Amino acid sequence: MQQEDRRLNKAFSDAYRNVKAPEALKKGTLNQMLAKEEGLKRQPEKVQKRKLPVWYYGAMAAAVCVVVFWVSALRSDGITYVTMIEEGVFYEEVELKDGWIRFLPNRVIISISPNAGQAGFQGEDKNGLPVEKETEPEELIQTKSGGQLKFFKTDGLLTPELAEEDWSYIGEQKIYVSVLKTDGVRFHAIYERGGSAYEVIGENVTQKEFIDYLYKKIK
Amino acid sequence: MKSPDNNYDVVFDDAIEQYGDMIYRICLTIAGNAEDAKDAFQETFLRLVKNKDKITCEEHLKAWLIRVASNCAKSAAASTWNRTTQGLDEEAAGGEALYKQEENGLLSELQRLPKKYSVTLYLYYYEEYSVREIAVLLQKKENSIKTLLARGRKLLRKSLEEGGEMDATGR
Repeated sequence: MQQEDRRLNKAFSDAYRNVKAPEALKKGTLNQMLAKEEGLKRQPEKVQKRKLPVWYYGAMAAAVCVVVFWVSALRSDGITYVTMIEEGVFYEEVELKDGWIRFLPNRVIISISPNAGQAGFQGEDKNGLPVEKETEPEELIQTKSGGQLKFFKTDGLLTPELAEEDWSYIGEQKIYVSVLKTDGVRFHAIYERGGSAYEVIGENVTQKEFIDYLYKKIK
Repeated sequence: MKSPDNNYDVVFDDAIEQYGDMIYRICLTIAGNAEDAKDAFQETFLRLVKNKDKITCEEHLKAWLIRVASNCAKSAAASTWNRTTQGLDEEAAGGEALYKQEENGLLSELQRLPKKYSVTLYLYYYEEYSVREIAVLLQKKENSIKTLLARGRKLLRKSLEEGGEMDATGR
């Protein structure tokens, strides 16, 4: 082994004897090193110069925080409220002048008829018997988006028995709101007031149109 | 950042003058061609600029350069980008004798070996580092270095015998 080691030592010595770094490479590298060192020395100055923009950005960030806080405050007052009736489909920002509104999260249940254009809620009277509701709306409005808003008033109609978390509110008014997507989009709301039941149906309207109308009727 | 008890100052031109050839040989051994070796050489010393305050003594500098050069050369060799770019013009390199495989049997055979063997053999037989020192330099266990040396020797012997180079390299 020692003999082999000696042979290899000699072999390596012979092989690498003339292998040297080119002088141009050494000089070029040294120049680059010096330039890089100079650049590193200047870095603190650059940081100093950047101080003003950093403060500026800090101030900007603070201003943004104030705006975000203000918007949050407005929301808590109910001026702006984002509803998510059906995520990714009916998402829209809705502005209310005051009060607040809460909608059911993507709930399509018995109160909605799959036959758009007809009254959707099959109500019951106090004895549990079905109540035939007025088919002609008290009010019919064509919206800018080409849809229709219908307002019904039905004496003797009761709102469904629902758990508290299934009710929505506009202000203090308890209201049942849901949405159905059939051929078009159909929003439906029903609420009781003064012993009467009221229904609002929006067919192929935007969420904003429906909520604005509903808000107007309840207010 | 230089530590308070670190009084060692790296002088760039001294470092290049003293260790430049060794670093170049390591880069060449690992990279396998002059262009990649030069890239790795430059990269190694440019990294030294940023890390010079961490160097505590002459031995540390040497070990640091070897370790960084090994890594840079491996990266350069692995980079297809480097293989497709043109290097320094040979004339611009000052007419230095660049490495040519066909002119050096041992180097040629070394470069056919896996990198882990060639650099270990180089450090052991040319730079005459001990097994323990190589283990520290390459951040491997001593037993691993012993294994690498044994296998590397065997592969090199076989390769040289097949190529008929052993006699020309000292046998």
